[in-house]
Amino acid sequence: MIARTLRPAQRHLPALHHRGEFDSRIALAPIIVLAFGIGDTSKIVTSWIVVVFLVFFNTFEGARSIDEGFINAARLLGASEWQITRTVVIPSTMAWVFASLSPAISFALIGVIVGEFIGAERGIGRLIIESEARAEASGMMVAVIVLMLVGVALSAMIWRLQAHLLRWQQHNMVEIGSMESRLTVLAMRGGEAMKARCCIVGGGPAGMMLGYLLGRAGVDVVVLEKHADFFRDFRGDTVHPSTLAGDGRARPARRIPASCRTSGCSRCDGMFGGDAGADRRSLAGSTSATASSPSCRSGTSSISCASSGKRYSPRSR
Amino acid sequence: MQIVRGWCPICSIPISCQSRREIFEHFLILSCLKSKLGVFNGWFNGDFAKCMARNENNLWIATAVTLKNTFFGFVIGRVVAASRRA
Repeated sequence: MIARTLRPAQRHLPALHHRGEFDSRIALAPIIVLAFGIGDTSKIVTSWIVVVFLVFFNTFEGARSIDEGFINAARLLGASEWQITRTVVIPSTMAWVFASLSPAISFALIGVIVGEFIGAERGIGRLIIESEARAEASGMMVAVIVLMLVGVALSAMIWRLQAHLLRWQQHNMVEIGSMESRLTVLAMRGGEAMKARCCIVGGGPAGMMLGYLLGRAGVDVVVLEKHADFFRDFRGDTVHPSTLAGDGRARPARRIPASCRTSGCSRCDGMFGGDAGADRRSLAGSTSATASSPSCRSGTSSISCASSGKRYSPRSR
Repeated sequence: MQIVRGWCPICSIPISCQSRREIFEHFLILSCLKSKLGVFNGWFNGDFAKCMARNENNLWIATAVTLKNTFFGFVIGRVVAASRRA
């Protein structure tokens, strides 16, 4: 992770990595056996040599390929550098680290077997070599089959461990989309974080209403929405009067940001980011207004706003 | 006379073609479950223990040693990679 922050390392390590793929580290095995003897140490060193680069470069790649959007989003929410490292960098890197577990265990096994071929007192590799010296093909087959079973068992163990430790990836992934990224960039441009007590992900009817209610209750709230338009196919664009009759508190704002009244979807960003920090407690408590936001995808895009008795019919498509 | 057809992977050379029975017999011998004379080694009469002591590189020990070396190589490799990162 430190290597990730160093620009020279980012420049040179990938090239080293690709070169490392081609140079055969396993060819060092005879030298290692010469240096460490035919005991177990030489097998462990051979295995280590094969594994260490694989894991190191995989982790480095993982740290290098973290989505900047995640980091910016965390920074936007006021996270410290340590919190970013703990909650964004490490979990993102772990996916890469664990992805290298399975090949690493296979490579470790290959390293040990090659070491045992070259010189060993005991081991499955030694069994194979002994059988070969005696021309006992069945002995070799037994050793090879046992070796296959050992490899499969080790891989299965690693898969289970990986699935257990990375179970959060499958269920808890929150996609940070274009709108959030844009908001993040806008917020970060000034060099300051947008701070909020509550962050709502998703600006659908529920998210917007919750944001509105929290805002009216005096809670600092930010609603993050990835879509840059109000396409009605998936968004509740009209609040039905019967919904408003629910409890008397859930009512749309009388004052809708001016930018929403002008044409052009891109100007509607103010709905999300432009009025951040405004005191929403001053919003009207009782209104008969209905706000509708026709689809912005059909060319003449505009957000129509109505208040105080006026009623706009959504433009028919 | 019954001809036993050998079993081997498709790509292997003819000398490695062995019958499944022969391979299984060899498995029993290498794992000290059977003696080379074809008699099963008893657990309680100590034949199995004697075979294990006599044959330093029997299948059990060989597998255990290979597993141990793989585990240590794997763990040390990971630890060293982690310490390099730190």
